[in-house]
Amino acid sequence: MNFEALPAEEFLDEAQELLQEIEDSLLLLEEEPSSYEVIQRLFRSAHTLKGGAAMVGLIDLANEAHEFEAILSKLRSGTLKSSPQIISALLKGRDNLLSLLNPLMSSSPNNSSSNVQKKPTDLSPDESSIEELTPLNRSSMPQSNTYLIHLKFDPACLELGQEPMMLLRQLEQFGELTVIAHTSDFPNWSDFDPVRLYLWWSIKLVSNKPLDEVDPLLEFYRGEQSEFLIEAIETPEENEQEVQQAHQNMLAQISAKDEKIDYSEPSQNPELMEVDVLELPKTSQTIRVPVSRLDRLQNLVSETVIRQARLLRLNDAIQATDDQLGEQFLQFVEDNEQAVRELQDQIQQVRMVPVGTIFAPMKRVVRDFANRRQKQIKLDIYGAETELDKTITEQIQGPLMHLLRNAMDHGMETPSDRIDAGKSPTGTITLQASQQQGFVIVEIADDGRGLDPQKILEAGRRLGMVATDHQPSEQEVLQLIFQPGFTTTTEVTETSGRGVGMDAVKRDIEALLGNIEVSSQLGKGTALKLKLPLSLAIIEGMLVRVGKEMFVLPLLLVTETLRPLPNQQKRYKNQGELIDIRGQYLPLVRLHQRLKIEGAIDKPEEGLLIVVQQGTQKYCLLVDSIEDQLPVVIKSLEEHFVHIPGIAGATILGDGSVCFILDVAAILN
Amino acid sequence: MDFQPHHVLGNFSLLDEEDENFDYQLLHHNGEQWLTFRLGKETYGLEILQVRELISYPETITRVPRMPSFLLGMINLRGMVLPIMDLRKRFEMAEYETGPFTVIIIVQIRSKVIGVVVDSVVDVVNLQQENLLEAPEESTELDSKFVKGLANLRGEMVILLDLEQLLAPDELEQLSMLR
Repeated sequence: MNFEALPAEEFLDEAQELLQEIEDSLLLLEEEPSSYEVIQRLFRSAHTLKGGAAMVGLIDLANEAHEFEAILSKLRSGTLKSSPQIISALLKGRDNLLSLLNPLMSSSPNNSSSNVQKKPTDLSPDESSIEELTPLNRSSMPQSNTYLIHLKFDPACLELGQEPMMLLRQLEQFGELTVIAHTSDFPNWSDFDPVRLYLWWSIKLVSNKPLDEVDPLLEFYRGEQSEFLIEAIETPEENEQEVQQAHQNMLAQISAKDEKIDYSEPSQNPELMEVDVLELPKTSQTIRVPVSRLDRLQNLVSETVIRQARLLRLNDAIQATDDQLGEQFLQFVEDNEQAVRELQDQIQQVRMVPVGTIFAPMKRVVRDFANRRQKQIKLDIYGAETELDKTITEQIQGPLMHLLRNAMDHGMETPSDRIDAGKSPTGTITLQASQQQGFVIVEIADDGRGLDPQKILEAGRRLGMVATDHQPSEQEVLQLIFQPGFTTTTEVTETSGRGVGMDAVKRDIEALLGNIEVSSQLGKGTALKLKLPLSLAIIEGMLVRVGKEMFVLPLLLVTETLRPLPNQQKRYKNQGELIDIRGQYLPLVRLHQRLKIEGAIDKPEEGLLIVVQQGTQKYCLLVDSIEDQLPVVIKSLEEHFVHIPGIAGATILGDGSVCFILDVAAILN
Repeated sequence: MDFQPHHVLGNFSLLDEEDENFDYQLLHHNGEQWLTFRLGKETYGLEILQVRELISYPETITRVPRMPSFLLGMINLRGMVLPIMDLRKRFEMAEYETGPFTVIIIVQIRSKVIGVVVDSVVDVVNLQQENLLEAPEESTELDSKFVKGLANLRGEMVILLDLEQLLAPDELEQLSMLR
């Protein structure tokens, strides 16, 4: 095996997660400076990162992680007290680790190593800042410690991909090793299994490292079936006899332990078991799977859903020719339907990740922004455990970050302004996720100054987006912020105001077949609400007919359907046709006109109206009829063609024909 | 012999006559195999490496709203949603009723897969350097950007097409700008 090879992808994934954990923990530590538990968690994350980096041969990263860990170890032992400066330095250190990692994420295997080699120069300023903060320097601990280590790996560890030699090599880096390999467990050759490990080791290590650096290394390799013991011998001078004696004692202890533990009845020796439980790391109940494999699985399930629809079609034909056979077939199709639904639910579940994964980095963004801009902002997160498809989660990260920056930069007042307005000097941004009727709602709200409809309207008129003779409603005014090129400010700040604005956010959300709504109260704050489908692969759709053509509307956007009476139809000048629905006047949009389809129903009272939500505004879409409501598998048109305006994607119906999913937002614009 | 798959699409009428002198290695390496098909009175050629398969004209092609008529619509080919283009309409030739010989050639252009409707497929031929003709400017009424070259195949002229132009950025822009 070649351990100098490129870092395993799994490690890169894991490292990213660890760095996120580290960041989360650091921010938490800032809130609870004396929490031993948080420090302990930090230490563990840093340690795992170090071990992993060393294992895949990223020595620079491992060394840097080691420095990081050394500071944490001081926090843990209490020689260093946590303070905002220390947290800042540690956050910087964490960013350094990330910067070492980043070049590896996308680069090809060939240049990855050279990238890493280049990095240490960038690191030096930060390293020095960390050094300043550490009253105890690493090198000021010259005394050597002697450890006796007993290593008995899980006999199946080789099969599990562990490499005992790696640990020995890493121990060797700590100091001088004396190793005895025990062969007493070797079976007869006839019973020899080449993938089992029969060797175990007793090691004497003379090192200047403290126990809490050596021990975690063992921790990294510890498995359920392994027995690792480490004991520090107090006397730094080498007293051979004493060491030998300790060694004997330890071996005796091990064999005694072997005898005492009865694995089948753990309750017999509660004390010993307790110790054992503490030593065992939690066995992982999860496995890592590349997303591409899930995508593939999702595609197969999607195909199955389509075939199921075809089976249902076939059933009609069979029923018509042979009653009895049809009956049997129907039974089969219905059973299969259940299984397919279940399969679809399960794969959807597997692809779900908690939205908290993208909320977490935002704490840091808020902290840094508030510090830099002398604002006091608190970020409250609710519903971080709400689950959403992984791809959607990734794709809303950018838009959400944009909304967050807007809230911090434009929404939030300075502490003095807030006090003048009679508010608490600390502003609160609330990030909230929840699941509602098969959709996910993500809301970001601030208690800042709110949107000023007057200013927005003025800007809208100035930019020619609102006709001078038109007096729009407040909702219409708020919608202006989603117009391309809309801006009220002329000033550009570091975080926002560069002109790529809410229109981009809106487009991104609509590309996911979602919806974005804004609400605001002047002086009280602004809220943006994203409504998202649970999955990108299969959505609930409404199959409608326009003329002879069929289309799918995303059910997420449909609020109601109705056939209007002639007296519900109104016409106002400048505003086109409106439909009166319980006193609400909604614009009428003839789908056949927008899509240029001939031979469709033109009179609303003869067709059907589908009321759809578009942003905060509702519209009535005229269609000939509703044919079905069904889960539709989304196929991208871009894969083999180009994006077509007004069409969000395609799906395949039960008869095998292609049907388009309408992009309602684009059609209405 | 690893060129076997090439036989699947048709027989090499040229090769049959010249089989003994034929250099298989050369064929394999210079990739000069072309699928010929007919559109109106003329014979066209498509590089065989671009051709994925031939299918008969499907029962339903779903029209795409607000698109120019040469984009006939989309079909479902074993779960793939593919656009179908009518080459007669694209090349502004007289329209033609679909008949028993009407075929859709599924071509792969880089990562995209599209289908083009042609009157009928003729053959798979091997073109050597000496078959190629200097392309005179007005040899065909076709938009010259689609013409890669001309070849003389036993006295008959074959217009060698560059279908990559069907998915060229300006061509696609034209589609996505239409409202």
